[in-house]
Amino acid sequence: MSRSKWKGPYVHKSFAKPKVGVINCWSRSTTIVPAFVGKSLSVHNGQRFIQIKVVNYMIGHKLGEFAHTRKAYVHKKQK
Amino acid sequence: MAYFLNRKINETSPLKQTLTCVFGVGPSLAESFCKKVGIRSTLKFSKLTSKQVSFLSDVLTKDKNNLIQEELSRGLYENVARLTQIRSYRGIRHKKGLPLRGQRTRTNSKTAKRHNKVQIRFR
Repeated sequence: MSRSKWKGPYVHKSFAKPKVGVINCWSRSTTIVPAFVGKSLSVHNGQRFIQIKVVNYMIGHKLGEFAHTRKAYVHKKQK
Repeated sequence: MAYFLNRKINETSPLKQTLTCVFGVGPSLAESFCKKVGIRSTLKFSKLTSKQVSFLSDVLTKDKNNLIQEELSRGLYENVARLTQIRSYRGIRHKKGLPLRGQRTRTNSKTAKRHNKVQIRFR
């Protein structure tokens, strides 16, 4: 079920204060708003921070979409 | 065989059926297009005059609410391409040909494997 429109996009309160440089954030459910464009964020994936550079097309997506939580499975090479 | 908007069509079947050969036009849309042009939808395509055919193709291509043919398939492809370009989760799943919305992949997920990897084309 999608979020009510009258609430607006969800942005974590830690983004309220302006910060300089790469911002660490744990809030994966924060929606990317136009104010984020051009910034570098590092989003936590449960283990470590993954740096993403926000571009125009990302607006409306959530931060967690760009920090993958699972390792891609690769078959072992047979000897 | 007759051609309409670069598509092979069966001219002996009723107009509402022949129009569905066009990518992006289904039964209900075909009916509404017939109404817009003012031709009975059960009329055979071969009975139309060349003027009517050109008018019909004009209405179909210039309708901005419903994209058809190349424009539609390009739009669909671009939607997926945007997701892969920004490297979002959904884009990566598209690339791998796996389900996008958290379905299981241990078994099943046959539909996703069939569809998600294939580039969308109308031919």
